[in-house]
Amino acid sequence: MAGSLIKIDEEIVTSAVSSVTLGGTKWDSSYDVYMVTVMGAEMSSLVDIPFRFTVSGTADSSSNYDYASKRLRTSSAFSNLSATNQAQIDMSVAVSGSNDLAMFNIYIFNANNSSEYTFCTLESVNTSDGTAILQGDTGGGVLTVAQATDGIQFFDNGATANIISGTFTLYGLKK
Amino acid sequence: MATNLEFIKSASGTGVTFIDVTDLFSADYDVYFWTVTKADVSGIDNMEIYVLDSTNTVITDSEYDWASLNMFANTSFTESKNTNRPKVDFYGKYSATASKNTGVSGYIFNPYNSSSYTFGTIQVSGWDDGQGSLRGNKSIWVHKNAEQINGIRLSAQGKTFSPIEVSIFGVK
Repeated sequence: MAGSLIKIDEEIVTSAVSSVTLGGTKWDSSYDVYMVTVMGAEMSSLVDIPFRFTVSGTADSSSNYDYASKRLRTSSAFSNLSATNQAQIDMSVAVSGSNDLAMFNIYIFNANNSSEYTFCTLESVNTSDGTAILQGDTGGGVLTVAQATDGIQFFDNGATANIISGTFTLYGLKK
Repeated sequence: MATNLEFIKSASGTGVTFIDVTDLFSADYDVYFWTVTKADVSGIDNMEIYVLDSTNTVITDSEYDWASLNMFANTSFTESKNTNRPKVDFYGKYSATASKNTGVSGYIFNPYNSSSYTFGTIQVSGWDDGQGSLRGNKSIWVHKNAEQINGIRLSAQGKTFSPIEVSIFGVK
């Protein structure tokens, strides 16, 4: 069936971990476009959740990530999140608290082409700040290195917070 | 390997002011994708989305928050937001010309989980007669009551749909 999503990898977090990696040895390079869904993500303290792409299963932590997003929220004016030459792409997430959960969709493009950058679009929606404030991001990012990538890693922000819950799933978009 | 974007159901109507998609959500999926495949509205206005409770009754309590970014091709972007509302308003139809209709899709997260809020995103692309421009919209929303949600209602501020058709898929 054209346009189907095929599940490649899934990690379910139920206790604190420092990172979640999808792909790597489970990566299936037969797709052009990949989708990552994250359901019910929470961090142990109030920080964004960063992510990186992996190369041969290891997160590429070079300062070659650019991103630009709009942060929508009900508590104040919307804001722009943009940066170049970063070591990660940042994304809005929920902090631990009653009913404070985060949902993401990320699409990954050009991952398997070693002569092109890896791009992604992202969207998130969550309640955060422990007071159920609605917020979410919409935008995109890029790893500005012409190389093949084979996964995505979500990790704690500067070792100041852990990922304490969430279902992280990687799909390939069937050609 | 199993196919994991699965068509669940579609619903349609004509000459109606709203359409309910009942018994839509289940424990089989956490993430749902929906798209309006046909829509013609009797006037220019925002659309609305509501959620339906476990008895398929529309929830109109002041339990919805939403935030919305309007993106115009010919002028500055605008933003709007609201809290504790009885529904979610989002960009619907802003052109009186039939050929300049609107494309709408969205995701809904976690609706069937009775211990969690229900979250959603909406993306729209259409024509705005007032601006004479392409108008895109990105919205996020939450229904802030932890309860089992069975479906959705789409409406357009009392305007008539002739027709409307919506399709919903589960992401498994």
